[in-house]
Amino acid sequence: MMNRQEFILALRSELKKLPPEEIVAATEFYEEFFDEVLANGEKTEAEIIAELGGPKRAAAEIKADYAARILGGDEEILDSKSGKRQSKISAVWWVLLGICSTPVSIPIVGCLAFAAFCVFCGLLGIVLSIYGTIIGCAAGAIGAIVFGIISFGSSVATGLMFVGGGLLLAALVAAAGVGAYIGTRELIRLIVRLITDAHGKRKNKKLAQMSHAAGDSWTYAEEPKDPREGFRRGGDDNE
Amino acid sequence: MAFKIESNLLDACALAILKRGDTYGYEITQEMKKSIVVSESTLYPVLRRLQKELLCRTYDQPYQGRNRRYYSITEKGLAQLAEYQRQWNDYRTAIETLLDGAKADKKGRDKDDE
Repeated sequence: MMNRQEFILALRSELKKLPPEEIVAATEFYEEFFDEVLANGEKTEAEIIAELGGPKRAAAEIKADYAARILGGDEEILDSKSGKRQSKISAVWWVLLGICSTPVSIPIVGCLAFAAFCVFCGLLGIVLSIYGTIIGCAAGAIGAIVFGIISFGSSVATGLMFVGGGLLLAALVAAAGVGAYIGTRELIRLIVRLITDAHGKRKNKKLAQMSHAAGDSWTYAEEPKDPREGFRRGGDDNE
Repeated sequence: MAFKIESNLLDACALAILKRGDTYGYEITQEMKKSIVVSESTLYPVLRRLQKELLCRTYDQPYQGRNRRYYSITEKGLAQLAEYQRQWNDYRTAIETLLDGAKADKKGRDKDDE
């Protein structure tokens, strides 16, 4: 049957992915809890562990709460390696980077980039085809006018018909050309604005992140200082 | 019990216990267990959460050659408790209205049958 020390060790090993601060706090709580219950003399260590539902259950409760706190966003995250305080924004960034760097997501990123490229090519194709149509029509109009002038010699009626048709087509081409020009200009403006907006947002985010990081030390000063920081019990150094 | 006690409600209960006065982890769990069915392993995260949200603070006092960590409700914690009490009253009234409404309906139907 499991004893107290085994419970604490198992709990700590279940929690090893959490910041050290969390592991120490949980260990201290449960060490004290054992002390209190045993001092009452009503239960054995094994009974206490059974009531807690075992180390896995206790650890699962702690991990679930930690995850909820992190996702809820009202928590600063300690970088487990350097012990430096990270702002939550940068922690979210790390999570995103983590997702992006996994092998599964590389094809996804590739697909997204390819999709964006396809959309760009599609737009370019539409614009070019519109201009192609306009140029073709313009050539047709010029051809018709020239052919009409030439055929004045043989038949005035045919000549007038071709010159008239050519002029009509030329007018349509001119209108369509102006429309296409304005449309293209707006499209380019829209794309440029989208890109600069995205860039600006990133810039703002970075600024917000910096100001948040600056505010960190201030916020932390208000948190009650743990008088037992650095204090370790016997079982704590076993990891 | 037929109803699961979710975490905000546990927070409210813990804050209510702390409002009576500073106390330590084991005593809080025992107080909770007096009133509601809850596993001891769910109570540590509740206290940790309250502490992290600055709703309570802790201090240590030696007791029989070891440390006892006391939990003390903060101003923010008192405000949060008041808010929980308000919201709980609304919630309870809403559910009771529904449940009592169902009871009244049944009585009405029973009378019609006679």
